[in-house]
Amino acid sequence: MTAASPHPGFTDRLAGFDGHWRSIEPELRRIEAGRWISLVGGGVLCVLALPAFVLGIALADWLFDPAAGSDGPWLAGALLGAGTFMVGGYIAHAPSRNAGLLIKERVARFLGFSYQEDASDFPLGAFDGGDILPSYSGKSLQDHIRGEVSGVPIAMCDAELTERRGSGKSSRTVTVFRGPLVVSVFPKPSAGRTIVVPDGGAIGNFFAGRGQDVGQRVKLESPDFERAFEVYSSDQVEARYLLTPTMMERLLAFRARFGSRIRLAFAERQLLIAIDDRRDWFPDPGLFQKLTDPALVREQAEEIARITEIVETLKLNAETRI
Amino acid sequence: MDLFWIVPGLALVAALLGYGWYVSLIVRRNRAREALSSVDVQLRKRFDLIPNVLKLAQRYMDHEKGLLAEITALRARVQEPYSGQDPSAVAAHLDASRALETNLGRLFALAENYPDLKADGTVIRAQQTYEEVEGHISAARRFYNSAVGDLNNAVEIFPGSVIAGWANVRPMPFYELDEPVARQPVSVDDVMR
Repeated sequence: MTAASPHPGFTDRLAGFDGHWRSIEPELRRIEAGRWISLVGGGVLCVLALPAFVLGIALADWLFDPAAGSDGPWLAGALLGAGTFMVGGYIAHAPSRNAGLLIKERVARFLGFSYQEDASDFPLGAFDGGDILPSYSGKSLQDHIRGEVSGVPIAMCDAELTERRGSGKSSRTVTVFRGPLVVSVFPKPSAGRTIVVPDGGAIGNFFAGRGQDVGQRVKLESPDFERAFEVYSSDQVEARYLLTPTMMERLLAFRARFGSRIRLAFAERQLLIAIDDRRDWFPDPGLFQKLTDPALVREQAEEIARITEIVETLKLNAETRI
Repeated sequence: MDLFWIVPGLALVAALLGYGWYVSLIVRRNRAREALSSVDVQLRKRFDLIPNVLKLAQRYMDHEKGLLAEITALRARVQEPYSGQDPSAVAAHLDASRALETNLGRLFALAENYPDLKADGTVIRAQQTYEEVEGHISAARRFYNSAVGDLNNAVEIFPGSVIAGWANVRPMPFYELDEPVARQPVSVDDVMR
């Protein structure tokens, strides 16, 4: 049950986890015992959604005057059918959801973090400069994890941002961002705002930032960094003060670890990170997954431990301030 | 008839291209001057810090009077006004700043030999501020060198060299690190001793 990792901090943090898992096991076993009952009960309710739909129509037809020719009976049928289906789905998913919450909460605590399913108090406002997140009209924030890594405060949540596009019948909801948002402390203060975004190629870079107040483009010395990222800042000198050659190397290592769809902003003493990797970092177990499977817990532990990698890869606790 | 229009047409296109090139040269020169003034803003911070550092050093470093006097003289040289439009004056100003930086670095390195000085809380804070200021100067130097690199490429490559000659736009000097110690390999044995 041990996973090899090239990051020493990562494995160090998970040392002793297998012993900790045994303390969660009895509770997971209790939830697992009720899983099939919930699954069958919820499944039956889902199947009953169709008869409920028909029943709703019949009841409404009987209660109200059919001569009126309204959509009332259809609406009543749809409501009853959909309601039954939703309740069935909720009951079927309840054990997986409860197990997921338990695992996340305990694993986070083991790693020295606090966990809260609701992330409505996550400081999303800090990201609202319109420079590292796309414009959105809907948001879903969950899995709020807070704590300290090597003395550096860090908070993150799993975010899904959506936007309504088109109008009338062609209007649809599009996911514009899916992945973790991270707020941490950066050892150097900054008066302005500096953002680091993926390189968009010659044409993409030409149009990037048009119509937005992202500051001036900052051209840095490292060809590798310039190929990977574009930097914009309200202060050319400050951008270079923050992005030293060493920091540029760390950001390249960070990109190699977390993928190319990362965006960062340095503002005051904060470092904001948005990783648009289009996946749920902390998914609940599947409906048909055995909840007492140790690999399930280990998987969550590794995902939460990745947060520590952010601080360790970027060396945010570096007292040398380079 | 065709030739009658082609010749002035080509002349107009050449004039427009020439004007565009001229504009880009002036923009680059102004960016380099803006970067130079950023360097001066950061140098000013170091400049303001020096009297306090010297006052603290004088308390403990009796044997380094020569170095302290040299730093005082260099500070006065850096303070002298210069023309940002004259590349040789800019080079002289940057040379003095470089020498001042080297001597301040030496001063802090020598301070390691004075335990009383190293333990003084004010000196520790002054050294932290100095490092912060040096970080900003280094950033300003990178900005300046980037702007000067762009300007010099535009000025020295044909046909920019011709237009730069007409417009009296000249290459500017780079602000390079002039610290032979920094270029030498570090002996781990010496550091760990």
